Amino acid sequence: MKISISLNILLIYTKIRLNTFSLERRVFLNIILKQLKEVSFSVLPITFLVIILHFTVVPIETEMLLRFIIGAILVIVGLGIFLFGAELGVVPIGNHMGETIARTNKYYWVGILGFILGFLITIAEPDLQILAHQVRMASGGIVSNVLILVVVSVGVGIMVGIGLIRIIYGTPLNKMFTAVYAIIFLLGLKTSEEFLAISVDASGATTGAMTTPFILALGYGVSQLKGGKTYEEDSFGMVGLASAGPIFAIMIMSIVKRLTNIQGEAEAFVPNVGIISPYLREFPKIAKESIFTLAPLLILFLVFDKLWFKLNKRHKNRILKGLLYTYIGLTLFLVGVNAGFMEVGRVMGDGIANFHPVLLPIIGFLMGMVVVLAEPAVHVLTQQVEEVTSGYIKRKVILIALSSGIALAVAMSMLRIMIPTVKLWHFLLPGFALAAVLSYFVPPIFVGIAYDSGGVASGPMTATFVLAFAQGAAGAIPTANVLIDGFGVIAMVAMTPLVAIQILGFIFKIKSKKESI
Amino acid sequence: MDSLNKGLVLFWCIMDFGRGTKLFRLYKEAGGKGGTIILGRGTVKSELLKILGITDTRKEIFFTVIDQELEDAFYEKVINKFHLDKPHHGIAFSMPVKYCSSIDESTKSISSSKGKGVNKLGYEAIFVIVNKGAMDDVLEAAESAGSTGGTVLHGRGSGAKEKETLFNIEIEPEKEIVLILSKAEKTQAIVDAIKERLDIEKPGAGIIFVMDVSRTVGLYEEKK
Repeated sequence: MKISISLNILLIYTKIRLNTFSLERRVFLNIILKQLKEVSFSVLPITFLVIILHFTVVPIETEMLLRFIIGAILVIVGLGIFLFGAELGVVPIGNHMGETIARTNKYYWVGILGFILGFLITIAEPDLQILAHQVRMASGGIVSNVLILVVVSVGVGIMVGIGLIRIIYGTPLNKMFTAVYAIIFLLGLKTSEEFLAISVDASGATTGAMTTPFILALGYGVSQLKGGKTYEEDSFGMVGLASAGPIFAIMIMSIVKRLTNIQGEAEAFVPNVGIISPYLREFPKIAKESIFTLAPLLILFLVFDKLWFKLNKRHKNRILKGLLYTYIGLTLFLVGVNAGFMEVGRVMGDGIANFHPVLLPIIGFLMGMVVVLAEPAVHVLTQQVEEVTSGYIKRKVILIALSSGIALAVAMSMLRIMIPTVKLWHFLLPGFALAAVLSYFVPPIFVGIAYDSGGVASGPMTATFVLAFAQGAAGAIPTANVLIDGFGVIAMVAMTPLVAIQILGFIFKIKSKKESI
Repeated sequence: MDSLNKGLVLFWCIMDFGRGTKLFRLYKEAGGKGGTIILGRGTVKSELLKILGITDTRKEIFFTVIDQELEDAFYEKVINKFHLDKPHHGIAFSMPVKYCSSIDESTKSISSSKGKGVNKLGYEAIFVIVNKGAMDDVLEAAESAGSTGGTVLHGRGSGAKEKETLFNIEIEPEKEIVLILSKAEKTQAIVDAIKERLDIEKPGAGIIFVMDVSRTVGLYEEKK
């Protein structure tokens, strides 16, 4: 199917080539090249880091290196197409829905619609299926997949509903997040350490590449319609709230079902064989999975359009095309990540641990720094930040803060894997507490951006690559357990941006105080 | 050519997103003072992109009031740096300005230039650019002096005195741009009221400029 599409595009292209001015072609190339350039700058750093490591510390098999390079190309192309699609399809859908929901002008309708949207887009998320499988294995089969899916989706739905009501009601985000994390803390006291890690990881699983831009846009849509003085800060925070949903859900479930110990073993690691065959194997699988990611959004759009939007045909076609691009882009991206990046992460973690464990935090730091740049939703978030603030908070500044945050997260995770006495909560508790305190001292818009970044950073790229890296390292260190130490890495990645972005906000505050007025 | 504009023009430049700060830097290097950037979207003319559904891209719109003496040199610099003379690299244009609060240090009154009877319709456009959060003050002051309302845009920018960087990246504070259409005889009063309320003479407080309007529709006059 994909081949016929690209053939068609090629055909159309040659047709146009024959009867258009060279000027138009240049416009076309200009835009495509610009996108390619931007995306390459995001993906090439991690690619080069791996290649440098290959030539210095951890030589990997030639076949694997070739697979990795093919993966990197797919990730670049996929990300580029995905971002075009997000701008044309997912973001406008979110904006329209946000506006429509806010227009109902009734708190309960906002809450109910928010719940339905949050529930439906989460339950189909492929990452969540994997999580459900993991949790079921970890619990020794006490809870079924379906139960986990429903419980987590209900969690997200409730939080999306609450988040939208918050925008309309105007509750300050810092109070909101303090309350949310205080409840999580109290639940955490009753939860075993293993399930603590799983539940915080679950938040990473639900904020997928498709759902994050959608939820971001949804909040933006509502705040755009509401307008007013707090418009800027109201545009953020939805992803942060939504990703707290799964934490609640899994914690409550583990308490109710009295789940304590993780049972079972991590699946054995089998490296891929061949250069092209892993891609041929992954492609149909992911192409199918991505349909499930896309389907709820497509159906919701068609229903909302029929009932409320009533967009004209051109507009509607553009959104549908956008959804098609997100589908193609996401599929290519995930195929590249799963077939090319994941095993390299694993082998790198293992190789560095064997070479010299001391290098783990250092290289982990570098990896965290570059890997987050290739995260699809990071592009969507930074673009929204620029749009909302008219370019006052620049994308680059956010990226620098985010990179340093993730770098620290991975480095600290490595320390935890190396030193058995260092526990996950030694980082998480002070981290979340610091984030809560900071939220009272930084400009409100940074609170929203920070908590959103936490959800955004733990997307498909970071989750896959960093998790694989941690598992590889844990496998090579005798005191570590692959299954238990693997969990919790995503939690770290979700926590550090809260602190990093808010510190950035603090610097902004100090800097702007110096100005007159 | 026109003695009325006293050598002031409003310079506009529309370019692809991401160029705004570079242009701003160039402008400051050329000796310019403050400027403002707003975000927008612009069309792209390409059949293939249209088929793909891509019909517009993000743009940045830079505008500032400059002296005509500086204008020529600045245009040259902009053309050299951004190749505006080639297609699809952006556009720049200028409009005559009647009065500007920061450059007209002589505090000549607006009405003196207007008195020559060029403005047949009798309407003028007042642009007020202030720090974020000050729009309410501007609108209140304007209303107290007889304005019937205004429109607020959101942008970023900075004056000559403001220069902050973070990781070597310029920070341009957020601004609010208030556009008020007023009857020519009320312009002076409105400008004065805003000036007084916001202490606009103070550096970094904001800028006001006035332009002629050649036609309006939809404005109503309050019956007294």
